[in-house]
Amino acid sequence: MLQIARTDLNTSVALLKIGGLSLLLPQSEISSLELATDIDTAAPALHSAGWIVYTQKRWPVYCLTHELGLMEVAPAERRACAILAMGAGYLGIMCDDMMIQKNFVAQQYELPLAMRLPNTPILYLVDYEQGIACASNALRLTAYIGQMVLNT
Amino acid sequence: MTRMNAWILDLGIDCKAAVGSRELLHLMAVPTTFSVPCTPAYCHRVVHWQGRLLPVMDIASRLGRTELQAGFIAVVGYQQKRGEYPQFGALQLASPPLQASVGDEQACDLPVNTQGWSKLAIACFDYQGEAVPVLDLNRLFGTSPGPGA
Repeated sequence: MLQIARTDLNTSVALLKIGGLSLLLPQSEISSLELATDIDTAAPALHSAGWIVYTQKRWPVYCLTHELGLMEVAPAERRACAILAMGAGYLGIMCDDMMIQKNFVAQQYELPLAMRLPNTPILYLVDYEQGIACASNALRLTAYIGQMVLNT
Repeated sequence: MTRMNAWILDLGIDCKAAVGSRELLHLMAVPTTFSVPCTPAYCHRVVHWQGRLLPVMDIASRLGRTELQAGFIAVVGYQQKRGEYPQFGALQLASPPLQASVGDEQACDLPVNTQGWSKLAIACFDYQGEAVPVLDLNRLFGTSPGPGA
C-alpha cells in the first residue's frame, strides 16, 4: 500500500515554496520564472490571479494556498511566477520563491492510500529539509487547477 | 470461552475504539507530523516512523466530531491478506491506550449514536457498559477515500 519506493529521484527538480508548502516539479517542465510584478491583474480569467506575457502571448496565472486551494488575490509573499509548460501552451503558478536542484536525491514515499483523493495532484512525497515536499507534475497540476476552476 | 487481549483507544471526547493487542506496535507522544495538501480532513498529516511515512488518522474527525488535538499517536500494523508483509498506519489518541481482556460474551451492537462506525469497525464489544467498536485497520488504511471525503 503506502510503503517506501526506495528509488532516488536523481534528476533536476524545481522546488516551489508556496507558504508552508514545498512543491516539487520536474525542472524540465518549468519554462521560466517571472516576477509577480509582471503579472497583469486586470480582467483575470475565472479564479485566476491575472495574466503573464511569455513567448509574446498572454497566459493565465493561478495563485495557490499552501493547501493548494485557489486564491484570486495573491498575498505579498508570492513574489514569483513559475511558468509551466503544458502541451502547446503555458500556465503561471505563483510562488514565494523557487529553487532548482540538480541531481536531487531524496527518499521518495508513495502517497498513502488513505490520503489519496481521486483528483489529487500529489504524485508522491519526499523527505526535504526537516520536513517533506510534495511532488507533482505539470499535467497533474494543471488538471487539478482546471477541475478546481470548474468546481469553485 | 475464548478471550482476546485488546487495546482500548481514547480517540477523543466520548469516542473509544479497540484494536487487537498485536496490532498496536508503538506509542509516540506528540511527534512531529507534516501536513499534506489535497487529502481528507480526517487524514491530512503524515509522521515518520522507522524509515516510513505513515498516514495519521483522526477517527473522531472521520465520524464527524471535533478534530482531535492529539496528545499521542499509535502506530498500528495490519495485513491486507493473510501471510502478506504487514502494512502500517497511525491513529491520533487523546490519552495512552488501556489493555483489556475481552470475551465472546461481551459482543454487542455498534454504538447507535454514530452511523459512521459501520464503515470503520469489524466488531464491537461491551466494556464497562460502553460499546467499543473494533477497528477494521485494513479498511481504514487500505482503501482510498471517495470523492466526497
